[in-house]
Amino acid sequence: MENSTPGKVIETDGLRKTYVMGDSEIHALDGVSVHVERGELLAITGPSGSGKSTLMNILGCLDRPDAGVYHLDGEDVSTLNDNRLAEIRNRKIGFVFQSFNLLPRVSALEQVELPLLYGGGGGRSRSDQQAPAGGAGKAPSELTGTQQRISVARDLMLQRGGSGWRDRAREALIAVGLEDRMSHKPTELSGGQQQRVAIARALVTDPSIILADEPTGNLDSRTSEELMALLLRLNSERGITVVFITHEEEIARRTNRIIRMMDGRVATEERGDIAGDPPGATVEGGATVPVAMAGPAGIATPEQAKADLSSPTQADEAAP
Amino acid sequence: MNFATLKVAISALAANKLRTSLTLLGMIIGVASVTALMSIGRGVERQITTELQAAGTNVLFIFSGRPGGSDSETPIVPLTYEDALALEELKWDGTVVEIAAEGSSRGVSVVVQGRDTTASVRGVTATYTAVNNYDLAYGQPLTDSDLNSRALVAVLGSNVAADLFPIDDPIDQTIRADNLRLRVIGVLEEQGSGAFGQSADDMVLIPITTAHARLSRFVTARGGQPINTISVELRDEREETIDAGAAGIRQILRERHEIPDEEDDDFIIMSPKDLIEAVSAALGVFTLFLGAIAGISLLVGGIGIMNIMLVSVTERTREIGIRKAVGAKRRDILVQFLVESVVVSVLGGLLGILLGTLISFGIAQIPLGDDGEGLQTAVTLDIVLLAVGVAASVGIFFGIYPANRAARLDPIQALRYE
Repeated sequence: MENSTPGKVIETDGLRKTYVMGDSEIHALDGVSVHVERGELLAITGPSGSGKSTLMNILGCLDRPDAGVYHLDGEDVSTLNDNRLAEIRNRKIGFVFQSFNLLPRVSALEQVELPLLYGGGGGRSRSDQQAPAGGAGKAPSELTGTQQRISVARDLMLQRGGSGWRDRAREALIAVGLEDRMSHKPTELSGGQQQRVAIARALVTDPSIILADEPTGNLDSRTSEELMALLLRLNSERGITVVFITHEEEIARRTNRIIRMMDGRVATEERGDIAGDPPGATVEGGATVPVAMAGPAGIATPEQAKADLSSPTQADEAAP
Repeated sequence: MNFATLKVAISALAANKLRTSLTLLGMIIGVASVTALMSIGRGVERQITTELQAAGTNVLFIFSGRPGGSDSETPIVPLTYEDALALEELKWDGTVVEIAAEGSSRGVSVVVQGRDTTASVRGVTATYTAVNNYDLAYGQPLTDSDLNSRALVAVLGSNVAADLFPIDDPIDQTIRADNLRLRVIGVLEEQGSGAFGQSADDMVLIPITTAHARLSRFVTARGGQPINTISVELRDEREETIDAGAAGIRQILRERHEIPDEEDDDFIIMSPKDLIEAVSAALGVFTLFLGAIAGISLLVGGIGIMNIMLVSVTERTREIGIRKAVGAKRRDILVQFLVESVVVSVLGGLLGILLGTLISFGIAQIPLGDDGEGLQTAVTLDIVLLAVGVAASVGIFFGIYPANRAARLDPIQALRYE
């Protein structure tokens, strides 16, 4: 694999996408060049029709650009066929959708196993990580909740999940705080819990990037806040690159960087409220050892976020 | 395909139990009717072949007629008793073991002490029962001396004996057939329905000489006693023996009938092997034909599967989108839906075979005819394999279009589908 820019997960150059609607052509993307650093927290925002959804589809390898180049992890994916794109989606991209998009009648655990099923269980290997000493060998069941989550997070980073799809799925669910909801079906979960399952599903293959398309759009404000906190935490603690596609200014602000789209082009780029360089980007080779955040000030309501970190599911239990 | 795919398919089917069961029912009915109808065909086939084999596969039957494909205009010289006697010379090298002749039979009323029945009286040689594998239940067979003396004796078929002598011992009783008073010397065992025409159970066998002298004095143009069939028992049933026997018979009969070299035979030599092959080929076609008729209902079942799969694909568009988003390839989706339709069709096929077997068993229990025996049915392995194979093919054939439609869905459109 070509690895032109190690620090960049995504690099596009002059992406174009045109739709024909009757007689008129709509330039959904009209020469979009963006890049996303490894470990970065990025928001792509803009009004409806600005092309942000089209951009997300292309960045998520659900679609191909008509013109332009898209490098994902250094690999040119702009001209791959459907099967190769499916492989890329499986290994490198995790989706979180506004409408959760969970399979009906399927337990949370099986939802999370799904990408492993299609990937044959092989995740992206991250050889650049160092093994932290101790603790990793213990079985999750021997540990208490918080310890467990830490241990699991560490195991995930180490690709210790090789013990089987089920274990990896379980670990991902623990990482999003759904250890006691594994056998629940979507209809038995609240909106926030469903979205957590979706996040676990996005996490389980250890992707290069998580694309979150209006992740809180269907949630009430309190649950939205918990969800955001979870995503921010995954980014800060585990260095996972997260790209939000949103029209909500409030969400867009809580990132490292905001790309504003307008009429199929990048209108402006600005820094988000989370100051400083994206975590991980400073370390050579893209190592993702948890980097200290710029401070709790980055999170709008630290109390809520904190509560979420310690007992993520309690707040959701009130929901139907 | 793996276990996980199968599990997904089964849980998807289980999610719509009523719909799945109705689709299954279509397949079950289709496969059951194929199984049941074919089992009838196969049963008949088996019954007839068994009876033919019982006659012995080392016996050649000769009767008057032109071989198939002959367009000869020359009148046929009828087979005579003398022809049969002439074949005796083939016994010298042991190829031919025994020769039997039977005259034409006449349906007559047979009477004894106020009881009467209808039977066909047939003049035969002493060797007739042995060559045709007709065993005697009791009494004596006809002998050469009966033939020489044109004795007024008879061997009764089992039905005739049962009708005339329901209680008494028929041996040495006198019966009247037409204008003949015949002494019963033996009774045949029950033979079942005969391979050629009538059953031996309804016959009264008398010496062929007696029949000629007393019943039909008809003489051929050449002065011979006309007969129906000559049966020639060969040493064994090997191909060479049959060929050698047939060749010898042909030579003698052509000579006797003075057939010029360029002229076709005016007699037909048939081996039971030929007959069994011909009959079972014909019956095999019949069986397949029955299966094909029943196959129409299988087709309808298949269309049911396709219909329901198309609905299922539409309903699950979003699910397909989700699966594609997390990395399912076209093939994965194709296989998933195909497995679903094949599971329905194969499950339906298996249950259909079960039901078809029960139906076929039930049909065999319905008494038919006066003997109270039912139609023989046989669910053979090939029927089962055919039914399962056809069911699976139906599943694949009718499943491939919906599955392909699912596999080709655009993930973006599918994810947006409400």
